[in-house]
Amino acid sequence: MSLFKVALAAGVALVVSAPSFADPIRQTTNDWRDAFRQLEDEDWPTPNRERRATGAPGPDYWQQEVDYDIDVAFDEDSKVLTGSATVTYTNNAPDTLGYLWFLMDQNRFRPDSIAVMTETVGGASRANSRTGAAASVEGVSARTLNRARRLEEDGLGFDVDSVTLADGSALDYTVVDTLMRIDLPEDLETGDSVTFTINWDHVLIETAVIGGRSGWECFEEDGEGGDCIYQMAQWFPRAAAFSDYEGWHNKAFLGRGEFTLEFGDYDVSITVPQDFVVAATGELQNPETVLTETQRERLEEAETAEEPVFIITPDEARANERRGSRSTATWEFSAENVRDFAWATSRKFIWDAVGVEQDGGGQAPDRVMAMSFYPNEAEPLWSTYSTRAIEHTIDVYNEFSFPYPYPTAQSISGPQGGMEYPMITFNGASYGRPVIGEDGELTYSRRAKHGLIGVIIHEIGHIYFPMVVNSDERQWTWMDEGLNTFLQFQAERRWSEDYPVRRGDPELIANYMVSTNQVPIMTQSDSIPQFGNNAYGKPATALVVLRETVLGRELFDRAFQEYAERWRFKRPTPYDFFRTMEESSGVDLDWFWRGWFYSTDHVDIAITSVTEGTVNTENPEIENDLERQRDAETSNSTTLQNNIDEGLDFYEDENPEVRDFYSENDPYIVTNRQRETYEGLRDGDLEPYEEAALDFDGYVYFVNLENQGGVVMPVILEFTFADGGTDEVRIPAEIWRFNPESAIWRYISDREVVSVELDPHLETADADRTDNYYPPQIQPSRLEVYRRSSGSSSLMDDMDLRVERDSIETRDQ
Amino acid sequence: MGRSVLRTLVLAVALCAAASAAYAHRLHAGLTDISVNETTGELEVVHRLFTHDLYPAIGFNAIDDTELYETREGLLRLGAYAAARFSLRVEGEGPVPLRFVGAEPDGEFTFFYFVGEAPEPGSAVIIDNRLLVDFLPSQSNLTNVRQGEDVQSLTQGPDSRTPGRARF
Repeated sequence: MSLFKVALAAGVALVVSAPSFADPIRQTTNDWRDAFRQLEDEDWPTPNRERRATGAPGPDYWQQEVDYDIDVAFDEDSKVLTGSATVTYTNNAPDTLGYLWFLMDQNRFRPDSIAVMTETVGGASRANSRTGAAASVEGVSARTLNRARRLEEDGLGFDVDSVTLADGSALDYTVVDTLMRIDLPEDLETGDSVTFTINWDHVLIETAVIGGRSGWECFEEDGEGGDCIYQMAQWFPRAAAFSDYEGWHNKAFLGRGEFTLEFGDYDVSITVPQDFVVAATGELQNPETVLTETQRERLEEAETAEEPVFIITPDEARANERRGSRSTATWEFSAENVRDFAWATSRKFIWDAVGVEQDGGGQAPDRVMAMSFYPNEAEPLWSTYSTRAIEHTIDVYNEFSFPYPYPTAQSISGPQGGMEYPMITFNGASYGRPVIGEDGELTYSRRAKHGLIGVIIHEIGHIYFPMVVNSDERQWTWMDEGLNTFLQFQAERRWSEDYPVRRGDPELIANYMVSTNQVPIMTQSDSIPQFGNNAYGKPATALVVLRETVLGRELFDRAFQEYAERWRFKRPTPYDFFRTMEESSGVDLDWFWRGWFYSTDHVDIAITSVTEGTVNTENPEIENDLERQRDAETSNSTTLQNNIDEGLDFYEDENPEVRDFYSENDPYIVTNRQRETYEGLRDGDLEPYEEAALDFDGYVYFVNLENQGGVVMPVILEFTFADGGTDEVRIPAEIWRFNPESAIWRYISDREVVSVELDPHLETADADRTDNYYPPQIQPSRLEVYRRSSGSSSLMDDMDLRVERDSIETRDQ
Repeated sequence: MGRSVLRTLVLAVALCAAASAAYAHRLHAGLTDISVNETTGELEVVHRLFTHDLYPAIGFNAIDDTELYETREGLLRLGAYAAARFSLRVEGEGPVPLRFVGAEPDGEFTFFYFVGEAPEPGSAVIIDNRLLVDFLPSQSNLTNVRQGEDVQSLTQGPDSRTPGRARF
C-alpha cells in the first residue's frame, strides 16, 4: 500500500538536462578529447580467421545449417496448431556440441514468462503497444484487464509433446522461458549432423488482444465478409543461432528484439480446411492438388504479365467465404536457404501476382513472383498498390545490394501489421483498409495510401536485411531496422517526387539528437527508449549523411553493396559493417561511428567570426599606408574626439615653434631604408612563387568555427562574393582532429567575400542554424517561417475562440 | 493492500476507445520543441506528430487533406486537438496560455505551432505532453526545452506519463 501512495505522490518527474557518462577518449589531465581515436583494437573485437579486419568473412568463417521437414495442421475451431518437425542439425562449428538450443518464442505469452512477468505499469512492451492495453498508476484500461485474463486462461505457449531420434528413443529437453535445450545422446562433432523429431502444439493468439507477430483476425458478418485470416509466425521450435562471436544466442525473447536464426532448407506440409488458401515462405510444390486449373493458368500468365494478374478475383474470394468445409487439404511448400518459415491462410484471400524480371547473375532467379493476398475489405488499395510496391522494392533494393535471392516475394493483409519473414511479409492490420461511412461509402486518406506503400517497401526490404544479410536484431536492432529504413527512404524517394517522407532527411533528426535522455545507437534492443528514433530514424539518417555528404554516392554505394554481398547468407556484426564501409571507401570513418553510433552528442557547428586578412607585400609604399589605415580605424579615443568636436585647440597648433620632423610625419612614413630593403628583396633570388606572393592582391579570410554539439562533421561553407557569385567549399571532418571544439580555417580568394553560410543545404543535421551565418543573420524559427507564409498570428484569436483543457470544443472568448 | 486502494483501482478502469490495433514497424513517437524566440521574445511550442497517427485520432479520413491545413475550419480542428492535450504550467503560478498559430504537413509528419508568453527566467515549468496518448496507448512523446545550447528532455511514454519539470 505504501508503494502505491508513493507512486501517486510522485507527481512530477525531473527532466533530464545533462548526460553523465565516462568518456574513454577524453584525456585524464585535461579536457581534450580525441574525436578521431581509432576504434580498431580498442573498441572493436580482434580480427581472426572467421572475421577479418577488412570487414569480410575470414577463410575459416562458418555457420551452422539446420534443415526442417515439417508437417503442421491447423484446426480452425480450436485455433490450435499441431506440428511435427524433423530437424537435421549440421554442426559446422569447430566446437563440439553436447546440446542444442531452440527458440520457443510463443512461450513469451505464458503467464510466467520473463516478458509477461516484467511488464511494467503501462507496459512499454511491443505487445501492449499493439493491442491498446495500457495502464498507469491512475488506472488500467479494459483492454489491459482483458489481455491479462486471456494470458492466464488461453493456455498460450508451446506444448512440447516429445523430442525423439529416428529410432524412436527420446531425447531429454529442458524449457527455459523462451528457449529449449535439447540434450544430445552423444557429442555432435564438427561436420557431423544429427536428426531428431519435435512434436508440439500451441494455441494461436488473437492478435488484437494479445499482440505479437502472429495470430488471427476475424471480420464482422454484417458489412464485412465475416470469416478470418490467420498468420503463423515464430510458430515452430526454431534452432537458436550458434556463432563464432557469441556461441549460443540464447537471450530470452522479451518481445521487442526480434531474432537471428540459421539458414537451412525447408519442406513444409500445411494441412488446413479444404477451402483455405495458403501463402507461405517458398514455392508451392503441389499446385495441381490445391489449385484449380484456372488458377494455375492465371499463375502462369502472371509470370510474364506486364501488370498484376488476379489468381483469385475479388468475386471469387467473396464467394469462397460462403463455402465452409469439413474436409482438409494439404499445401506443400519447399524453400531453400532460408532462415525461417512463415505462412498465412484464409478463405477470404484475393490473390494477385506478377513476374518481376531481374538479372540474377547466376546467384538468384531471373524472375521473382511478386504476389499479394488480401481480403475484399482491403480493396481498392491493395490490388492497386501492394504487388506493385513489391516490384518497386525489388528494383531499388537490387541496385543497392544484390539480386533478390528467392523465387517469391509476398505481401499479406491480416491481423499483423508490419512483420517480415523470408519471401513473405505481413502488412495488414489497418494498412490500406478503407473506412466505411454511415451510408456505406468508402474513404481513405492520402496518408493511408502512402502508409500501405511504405510498409510494404519496408517489410519486403527486410527480406534483404536481415532475412538474407543475417544480422542479429535481438542484439543490434539498427543493423536491420536502420539499414532497411535507409533503403526504404531511398525507395520512397523514387516512388514519386512528392512522396511524403522525411525520415531520412538530416534536418529532422536534429531535434531528437539534442535530447538529453537518449542512448547511443549501439545499445541492445530491449534497453532502448525512444525506439523509433534510436533504431530506425537516427541510423537511417546517419547513412543518408554518410552517402550524400561524407563519402559521396559513388564511394558509399560501392561500399554498401560490398557489405551486402559479403554478408549475403552470412551473419555480420556491427564491426563487419563498419570495417567494410571503411575498407571499401578508403575513408577512415571511426570518427563518424563514434559520433553517430557510439555517442549521444549532436551536430551543431557555429561560425563565430570571419576575419579578412591581407598578404604582406613587403612593399613599404603599400604596407605602411595599410598600417596607417588600421591605426586610424582603431585609434578611436573618445576624449580626443570630444575635444575635437568641442573645438578645443591643441598646444602644438598654438605654438608652431615646437613642431618638428615627427610632428609633420607620422610613424608610417616610408623611409629610405625601407625602400632600399624592399628593392633589395625584389632584386634578390626570389623564387617565382615568392614573387607571385608579393604581388598578390586578393583576399585571405580566416573562418573561426566552433563545434558546439560534439559530433565532428565535415564543414560545408558557402562564400558569397561582392559581385554576387558564390563558392561552396566542402572541408573534410578531419579539420577537427587537433581540436574537436574549435578550428580556424583559411580561405583565399581573388574576390571580396561579403557573407559566409555554414551547411547551406541542411545536410549535416546541424541542430542550431542561428549561428551558421557570417555576418550573423537573424534566422527565423520554423514557427516564424510558417507564420509569415500563412499570415496568421493566431487563428483562434482571429476567430475569438478558445479551448479548455477538458475539451477540444472551441468556445467564444 | 487496503480496501480503499483496491477500490481506487477498480474505479479507474477505463473502457478505452483507443485504436484497435497498432503496427509493428510503425512506432508511435511525438517530438515537442519548446524555446524562447530571442527575436520576438515569445515562447514557441512546436509539436511534431506522425500524420498517419494523427488522422485516425481526429477521425480524418478524406482523400484530400488540403482542407485540413488550408482552411480555417481544418486548422482549428487540428489546433483544438493539440491544445487539449498539451499544457505548460509555471510552478506556483498557473497555466501558460498558448495561442495556436497553425499547423502544416511536412513529409510523414504534421507540425503544430503555438506561442505564449515566455516564463520568467529561473521559473520552473511543469510540462504535460499527452498528444495522441488517449488514442495510442504506446505513444511516446519526447519534449525538449531548449535554451541556447542547454536542453532539458522529458519522455512521457507508456512506462511513465508523469509530467516533467523544467527550469527556464
